[in-house]
Amino acid sequence: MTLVDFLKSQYQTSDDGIFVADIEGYWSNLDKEENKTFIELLQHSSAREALKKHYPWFEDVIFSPKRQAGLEILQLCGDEICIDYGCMWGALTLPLARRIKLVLGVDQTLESLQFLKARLRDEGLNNVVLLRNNLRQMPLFPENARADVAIVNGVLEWIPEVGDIELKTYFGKHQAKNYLGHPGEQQELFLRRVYENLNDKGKLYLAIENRFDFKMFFGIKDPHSDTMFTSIAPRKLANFISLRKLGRPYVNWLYSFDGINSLLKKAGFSKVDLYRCSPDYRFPESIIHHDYPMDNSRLINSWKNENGKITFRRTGARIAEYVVKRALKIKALAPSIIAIGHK
Amino acid sequence: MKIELLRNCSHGSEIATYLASNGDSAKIIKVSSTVNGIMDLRAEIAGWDWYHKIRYAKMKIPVCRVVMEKNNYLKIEIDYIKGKQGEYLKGLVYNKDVLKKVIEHYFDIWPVSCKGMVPLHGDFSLENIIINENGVHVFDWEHFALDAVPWGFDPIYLLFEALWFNFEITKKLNTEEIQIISECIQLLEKHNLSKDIARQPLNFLISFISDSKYLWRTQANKFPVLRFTQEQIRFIDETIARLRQS
Repeated sequence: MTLVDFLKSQYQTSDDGIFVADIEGYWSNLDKEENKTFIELLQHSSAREALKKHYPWFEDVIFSPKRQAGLEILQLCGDEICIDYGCMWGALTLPLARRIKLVLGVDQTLESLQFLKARLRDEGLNNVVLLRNNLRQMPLFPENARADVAIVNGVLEWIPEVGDIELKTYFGKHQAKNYLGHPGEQQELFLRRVYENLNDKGKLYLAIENRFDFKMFFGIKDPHSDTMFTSIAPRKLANFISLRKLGRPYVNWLYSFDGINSLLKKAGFSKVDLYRCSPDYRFPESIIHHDYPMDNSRLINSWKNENGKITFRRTGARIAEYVVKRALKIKALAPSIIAIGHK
Repeated sequence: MKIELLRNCSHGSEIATYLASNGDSAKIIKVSSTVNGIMDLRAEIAGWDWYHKIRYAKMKIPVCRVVMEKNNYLKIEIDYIKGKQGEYLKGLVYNKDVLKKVIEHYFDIWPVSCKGMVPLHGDFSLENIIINENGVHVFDWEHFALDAVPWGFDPIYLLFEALWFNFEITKKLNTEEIQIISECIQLLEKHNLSKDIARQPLNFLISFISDSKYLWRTQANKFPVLRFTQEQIRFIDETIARLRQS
């Protein structure tokens, strides 16, 4: 049974050809009303034109060719089958589809998949299948339907979240919430299923912010909860800060290099290659194997801002980067981590 | 094979560049999945092919190879050349000997007898030059175009880019540096550089880039020499002319 046959046997299909599990769930930068209106517009224009017109600030996030730079670490040969977990608007799904045989994009938000479907239509790509499902409820695929590659790009930290999330009214906003289970255990369970759904030679590509990114020590806010020091603080203290500021526990757990290594080993991966990534995994300028010394690390932060002016903030970032990379040579404080897990 | 991302779509390019190394061997890998990026990579392949036939005629293995090509995606690999990379930020005085070697290399590769247009490298910067025991090696051929520029365009760019970087750091136009440019221009003139270009080399360079932006596609505005003001251009060209006469 192929992967597509398995999906056909398990799920219903929506009018636009998306496999749909019987779940609730929503996670998007747009609220539900905005998304509904936006999806209707896609019938009359290309996905990029519609986005440019109505939400131009997302264009780079979705379409920038910079986003796919990490994929080359996988050294793909072109005939792979891949599962892109939490594919959202397809920032990596489309680049993958250009490189390999088949991509399964999974996301809980139907509207994101509909937008992605429009992008695939615009680009004439027909080697992508989409599944609306909760990532914590992925089934175990039959042996011959398992994938060569799994992508978990900026997704692991959101796995413990529950309920609908409209980012505009959620990020950094006070919203009391109860969670079931332990965040770390939820993440491990998810990764174990990712592991199980890979074939014997399968590889995982996991990208995530480093819990100990040097900027976090200077009071830069956690990019998931918009709170200061929650990523670097012990989990109990982070919980306390989050409960005080947001009314809910801190669940968007990030990891250190050692932390991600041991989490992936616990999930079953036999070997993990770690890469340091700057200035972040989404728009990387430098990706370097974690075994390599810091001497090879270029300084990414410029003294000047986009307008060519030297600013206080830029100067601070440059000095901090210099101290961490060149003076102290601390590898563990790199901004982001890319981990390649081998089955 | 360990992969390291060296550059990701820098200076308006739509190409990601990697170093792939495995113990002793290393390769540069370039990848793109956009129309402009793929055009640049095709230019890179054509450039290496042209350069290879002249520079590495005795080598059997092509220096640049296509690794994967499908669905608007192109990946190429280029043999890594060991050696010392040009230190483009250190100015003309520091690089005087290197610059002369590179110009000599230009004479060896680019047809000196040619009366019409010649191939364009398009980013003939010290940053894209490696010198080792086998001589000078030019890399980064993303802007290559056959018969696109008058003879001498690339070395003139090389000289003025080096001048710009020193000017940007010191905020001064150093007469000693302009003197070196003048000597190099005279050397070029002795070979095949037209007298019109030799008379106002910087003005020619900037006018040519501005009028031929299509050659550089998405990266036409990346060149630092375009930031010289009209007043500076006039001063530099007049100084070169004066040194030339004397």
